[in-house]
Amino acid sequence: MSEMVKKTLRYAASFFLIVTLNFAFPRLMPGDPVKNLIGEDVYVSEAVMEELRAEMGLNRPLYEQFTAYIGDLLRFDLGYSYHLHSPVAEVLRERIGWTLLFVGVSVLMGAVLGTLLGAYAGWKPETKVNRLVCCGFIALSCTPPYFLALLCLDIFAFELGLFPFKGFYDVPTPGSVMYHMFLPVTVMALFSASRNFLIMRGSVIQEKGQLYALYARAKGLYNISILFRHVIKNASLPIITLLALDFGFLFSGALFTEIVFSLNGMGTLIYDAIIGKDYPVLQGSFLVIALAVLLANMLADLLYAVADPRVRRPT
Amino acid sequence: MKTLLEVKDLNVSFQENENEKGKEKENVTAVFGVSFSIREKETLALVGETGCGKSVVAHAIMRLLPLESRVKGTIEFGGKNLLELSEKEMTKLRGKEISIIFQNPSLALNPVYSIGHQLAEPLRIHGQEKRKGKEWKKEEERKEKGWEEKEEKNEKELKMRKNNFSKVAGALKRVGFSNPHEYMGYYPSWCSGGMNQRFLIAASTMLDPVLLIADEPSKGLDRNRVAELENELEGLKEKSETSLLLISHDLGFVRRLADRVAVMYAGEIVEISDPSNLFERPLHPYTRGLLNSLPERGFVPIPGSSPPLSSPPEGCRFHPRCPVKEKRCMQERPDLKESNGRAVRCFLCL
Repeated sequence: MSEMVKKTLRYAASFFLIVTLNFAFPRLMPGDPVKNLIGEDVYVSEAVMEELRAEMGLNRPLYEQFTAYIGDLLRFDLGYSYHLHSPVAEVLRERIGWTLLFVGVSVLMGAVLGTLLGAYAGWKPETKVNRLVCCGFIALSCTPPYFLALLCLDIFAFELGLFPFKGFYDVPTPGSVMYHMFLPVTVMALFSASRNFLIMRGSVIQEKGQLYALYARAKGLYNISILFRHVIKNASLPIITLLALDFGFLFSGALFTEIVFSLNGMGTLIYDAIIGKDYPVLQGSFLVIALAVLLANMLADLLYAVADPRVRRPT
Repeated sequence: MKTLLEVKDLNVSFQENENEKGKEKENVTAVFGVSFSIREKETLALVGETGCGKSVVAHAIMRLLPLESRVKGTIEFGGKNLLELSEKEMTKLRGKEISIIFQNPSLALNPVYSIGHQLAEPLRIHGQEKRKGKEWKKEEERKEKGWEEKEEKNEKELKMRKNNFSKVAGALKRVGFSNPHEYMGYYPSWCSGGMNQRFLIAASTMLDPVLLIADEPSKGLDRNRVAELENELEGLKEKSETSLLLISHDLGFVRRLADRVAVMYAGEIVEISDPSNLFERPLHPYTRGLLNSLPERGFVPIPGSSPPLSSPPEGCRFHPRCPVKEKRCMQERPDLKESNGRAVRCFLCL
């Protein structure tokens, strides 16, 4: 039980740290948000600027600003975007669903594809096909996803004209969405699969040499059933960690892919916010992404307790 | 009594891949011209020091050796040469007719599956085979009758699972767990080595194999556990028709359990005898040395150490350490000579 308390405390501490950093970073950056808001070429008197600062609460001491920030967060108020002219929470709510769909589907497909192919490649690493597949996945994992995205866009959308160039849909029907999402999801899934493949392959190579695998053979299991009935569950344990870590990684990967495919998700939102110095949007996006990664890690911790009896204890 | 297993001229060699300065691939012969037989319901013990090839013999019988090994000779089991069977035919024998108890039980059990699941596995694997033939014929009928049949099938499966469940519980009780249902939900990492040992015995004897190979079952267990293990194996011998190939270096353990004992040295069998004769009147100088090194006989070690299997000595393999060697021991290789139930590989004995 104390283990649970310790873990909860650790997650709470991480959460607090994330919120604090999220509060601090925009304030550490050079530049004046008020000047930025008004624009460089417009002349405004100091008095008016001070008035604006006071209105936004930027003239108060930092600890007061921090408590105000926490208070806003507790009310799910993430601030107001002056560029998009709407509350940040609303903007995020609109965008995050798409990115979650995009990243979620990619991660799932990548996990299934990478794990299965990796398991088979690890079971018989000496065959020519598996060597070739392995080389392919190594190449994929070394390629930055945005480059792969550009390549796919050029070949399949521009040259062959098989897929649309941009957007999530023409008309909001599932068919249209799937048609538009095919290329970006394929790119992200392949990228995710390549990482899972390499881990799984090494893991299976290691696990199949264990004594329990030999004992499974001695019990009368035939070749490949040893892999499926005994080795795969042990070998896929590291994948849980990788998926949790990858979740954050894929968010950043998705950022570039979204820009390449002009998908209006979190990626383009963050990109535009950076270009336009839209601090509230940036702050809100970072908070949400950090929370998503934290949640993914928590889920991984819970999954481990379910999947690996060595983690838990008899009740 | 009928002979169950007959091993003739078994040679096992391994190819070593890595070598210094690109020399030719070197062969290590771990087992050299080993012949022995086991009769029905008999217990044959294979003794010898670590690295003499005992375990390799066990793994060769079950065809569990790694791919880079070369196995020659014949292993006849129930009229079939095991070395000529296909892998598919072999899997049908493994776990059902021939079972093995590995040394290091905590590693032989899969860490992520429950004890109950792993114990029921032999039942599931070999239960399926039997039903397959019948099910094929019924396939056509079932398609016509639709979901009613399906439900019946589910019921059948449920019944089978219940059946397996009670069988596993029975097996656990047999190896001394009074509340088997609790332990079926346990995992190997939650249990001690001694408990895992008993789980392994229960799993390997689940289908009453004709031949059980116990590979150093007493290794790493303390005195009390060894005594319990002895009781379990003895009980097994009494209750079932199982023949036992017992591999061990624990001589006291072997003496109490075995009907015959084969002594191995550097990949060869040097002496086969019944235990009372072997322990009272050992013939081969190595056997004598082995017995003299026991604590109760004064702890006298054999001078020198075992030769490396990659370059065994000429002539009799024991001659560099032998106290009574003659000139021809260094040149000629002695054969295993038999006389009134005993066999020994020495020019100077018998």
